[in-house]
Amino acid sequence: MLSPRAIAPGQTILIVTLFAALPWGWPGAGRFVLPLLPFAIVHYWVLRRPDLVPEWLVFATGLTFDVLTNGPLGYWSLIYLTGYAMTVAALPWAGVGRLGRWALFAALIAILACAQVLLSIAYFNQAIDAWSVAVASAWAVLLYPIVVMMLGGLRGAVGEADAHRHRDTARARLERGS
Amino acid sequence: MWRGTNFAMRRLREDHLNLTRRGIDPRRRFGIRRTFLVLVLLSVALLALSRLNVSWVNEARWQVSELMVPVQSAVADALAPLRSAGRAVSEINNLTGEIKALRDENRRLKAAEGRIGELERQLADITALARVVVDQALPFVTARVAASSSSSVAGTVSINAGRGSAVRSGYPVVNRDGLVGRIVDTGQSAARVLLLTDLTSRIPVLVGRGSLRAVATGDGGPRLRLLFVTRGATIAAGDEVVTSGAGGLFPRGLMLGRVVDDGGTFKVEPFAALDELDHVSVLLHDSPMIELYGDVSPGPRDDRPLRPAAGSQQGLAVPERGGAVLSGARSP
Repeated sequence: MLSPRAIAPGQTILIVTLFAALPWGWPGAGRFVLPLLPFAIVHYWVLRRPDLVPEWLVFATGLTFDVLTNGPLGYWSLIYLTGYAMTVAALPWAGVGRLGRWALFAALIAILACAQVLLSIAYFNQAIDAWSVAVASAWAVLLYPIVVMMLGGLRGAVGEADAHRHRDTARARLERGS
Repeated sequence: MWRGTNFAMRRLREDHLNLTRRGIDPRRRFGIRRTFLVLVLLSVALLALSRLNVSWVNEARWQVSELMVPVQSAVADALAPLRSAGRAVSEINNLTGEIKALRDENRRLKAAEGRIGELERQLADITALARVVVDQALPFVTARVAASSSSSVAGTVSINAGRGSAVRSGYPVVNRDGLVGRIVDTGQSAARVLLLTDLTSRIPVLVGRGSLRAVATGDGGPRLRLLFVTRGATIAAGDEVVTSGAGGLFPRGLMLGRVVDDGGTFKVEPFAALDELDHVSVLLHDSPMIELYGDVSPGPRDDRPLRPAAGSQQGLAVPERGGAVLSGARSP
């Protein structure tokens, strides 16, 4: 049975997903940052406790967001899974300090922005407004330190002492069987 | 022997055998990568089913979504002060530009005021002479926006009025500023509105005083693109864009937006602030297309695209038959 601490990452991801699906009335392209917030939480926890963020949780997060926002089913699941895989692949660089992790997140968000545009072309036969995606991505990068700050207290409760051991575990998850 | 036992103990202590790691059951450790791949494939399959507009998938999705509407509505109510604060900040940011725009508009309106009375009189005379069929005032229902899509690939909002309020698929949705979109899914007490800016939105429009025909299409951004503009036609920033009524899905003359110069290309800035929708009105406009295509809408809910009318580039959706007219409803 999972302890309350163990489900804390999942809970925060779920809460932020519900939060992101609300009609906040943010102006212009700024509101497109909202789908990136659940990924910011996923990214945060994968870097620190990858053992508590299984792939199915990432998939379920994307699917929940797709359902709540009436978007194409599977769109954000695929984007989040792509981001998850890249985060896991980048785990060896997770210990490079706060600035390094921020830069890592920025790089991942930039790649995900390209993935969003490409996926929209594949799905809709036309590209979404690239400027809106770029603005939203920039907002996500700017907001990431706030996410880190807000989850910092929770991280202490969940624990990070053996995170490095689990980092290896998460990488192994993707690499085994290859 | 002792050395081997010591080594084994160390392995157990440091958990090199993965015995205590959550989620790494030795029996399924080799299936984890497969899980990831399966989930990716599942996502792709869901995308394909969504793209193919498979009815049971849409139905299931909409039923779940409809269940969530009251929850989202309740959470949105609880967080209303926060939302108001956010809007206030954005309004303060826009205040200077808005004051300038209002002053300009006021000046223009004053200049036009004198001519309007004369034109109205002339129009009444001409209408009487030509026996023009006058558009009927549309009944409407007003609903609250319960949830909105913040995704750039899905410009939709959910409203808390559905079939129980005579709302049907295809009905246009407006707010006090102009056209917002159209109904694409209906439940008993909720409906989904496809916003103008959605990637799949196509609306036949008239641009400017010359009533130039075009199709306004969303691209996921806050502004709409103009497609199928007549070659050599003149469009200027500031031209107003209204629905043309072509295809019959939207009534003619609904205010949609204004042409703006968007980095060298002309786009349409919607009059309605689609990011800040709170209450919207659904026009109970039964498209005349039903007279022609009524026999192809068998089900209780049918959003299948119709063939566009000749000359129109719009993907049409068939509203249900018998959109009820609410007694006592006024035109917005």
